[in-house]
Amino acid sequence: MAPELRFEAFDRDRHDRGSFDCGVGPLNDYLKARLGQPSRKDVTRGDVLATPEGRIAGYFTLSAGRLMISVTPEGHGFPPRLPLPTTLIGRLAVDATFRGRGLGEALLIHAMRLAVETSKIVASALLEVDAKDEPVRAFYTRYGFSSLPDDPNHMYLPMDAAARAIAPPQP
Amino acid sequence: MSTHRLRNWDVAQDRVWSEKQHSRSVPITSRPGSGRKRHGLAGVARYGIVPYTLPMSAAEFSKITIRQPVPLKAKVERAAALRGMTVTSFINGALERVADRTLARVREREMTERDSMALLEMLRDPAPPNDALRTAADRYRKRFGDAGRGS
Repeated sequence: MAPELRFEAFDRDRHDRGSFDCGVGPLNDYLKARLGQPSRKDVTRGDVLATPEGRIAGYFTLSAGRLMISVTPEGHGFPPRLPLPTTLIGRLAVDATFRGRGLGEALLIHAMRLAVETSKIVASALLEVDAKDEPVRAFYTRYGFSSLPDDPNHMYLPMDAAARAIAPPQP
Repeated sequence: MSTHRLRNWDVAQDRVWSEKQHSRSVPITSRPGSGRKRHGLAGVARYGIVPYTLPMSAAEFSKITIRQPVPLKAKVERAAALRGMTVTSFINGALERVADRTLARVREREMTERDSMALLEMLRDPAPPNDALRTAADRYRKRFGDAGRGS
C-alpha cells in the first residue's frame, strides 16, 4: 500500500479527516476540527501523506515562528536583541494502521524539504518542533534535533543542516 | 488532597482561616461581592500595597475552586502567614505573577541568556546532518523522488 501514498497539501474537501486515528486525541481532533478552517488558512499550513482515495496516512503542519534572543555575547556579530525567524513543525502524526513503515520519518523529511525550499525565499534560521514527551523527543533527537538547557519542550535543527540533508547526493 | 475554595479578594477569610487552620481541609466560602462592601478600604490598609490587580468593584470578583495536596496547602498557609497576608491574597498575587510571565513568554518567546548563547553557538557552527538524517533523506528520495512534492 505504501508505494501509492502521495504527499499533498491538505484539502478539507478531498481528504478523509474523520477516519484518521494516530492514538493521540488532540492530534486527531486538530486534523478533524481545526486544520484547514478558513479562519486558520493563513496561520498554519497542513500537508498530508494520503492514498489516492483521500485516506490520510499521516500529516504535519508548518508555520512561521519567531524566537527572541535576549542577550548576545560579544563576538557573534549579532545585535543584542535579535528576532530569529524559524519554521515550526507544529504537529506530525501517523495513523495507527500505517505504523511501522517509516512514514513518520518520511513526513519529517518532506516537512524539511518544504521548509528548506521556503527558506530560499523567506529566510528562516531554524527548524523548530514542540517536543512535549519522551517518545517525541527521542524521535527528533535521532535526526539531530536538540533542545536548549532551560527549555526541554522545544527542539531545534539549524536550517543549514536540513538543507545539507535534503540536497541531492553529489555524484 | 484537600479543597481550597478561593475568592479573589476576601478579607473575611482571615477569621475562617484562623479558626480552622489546624484542620486538613479548609473550605473558605464567602459570598462573592461581599468583601468590598463590608470592609471598604480596610483590606488595603491592612495589606499596604496589594500585590495583584485589585478589582474596582465587588462585582468583578469570581471564584476558583482548586484541589491541592495537603502538604502544599500547609506550606502556602505558612508562607502567607509570614507575609501577613490571607491565603487568598497570597495565592492571587502568585498566580498573577506567574500568569504575566507565561503570557509574556508566549507572546514573543524570549529565551534565557543561557539558551540564547547555546542557540547562537548552534547557528554559528552548525553541525552537519547526522547519519540517521542522511539515511532518512536517501530513503525518502528512493521512495517518493521529486514527485513527493505535493500540489
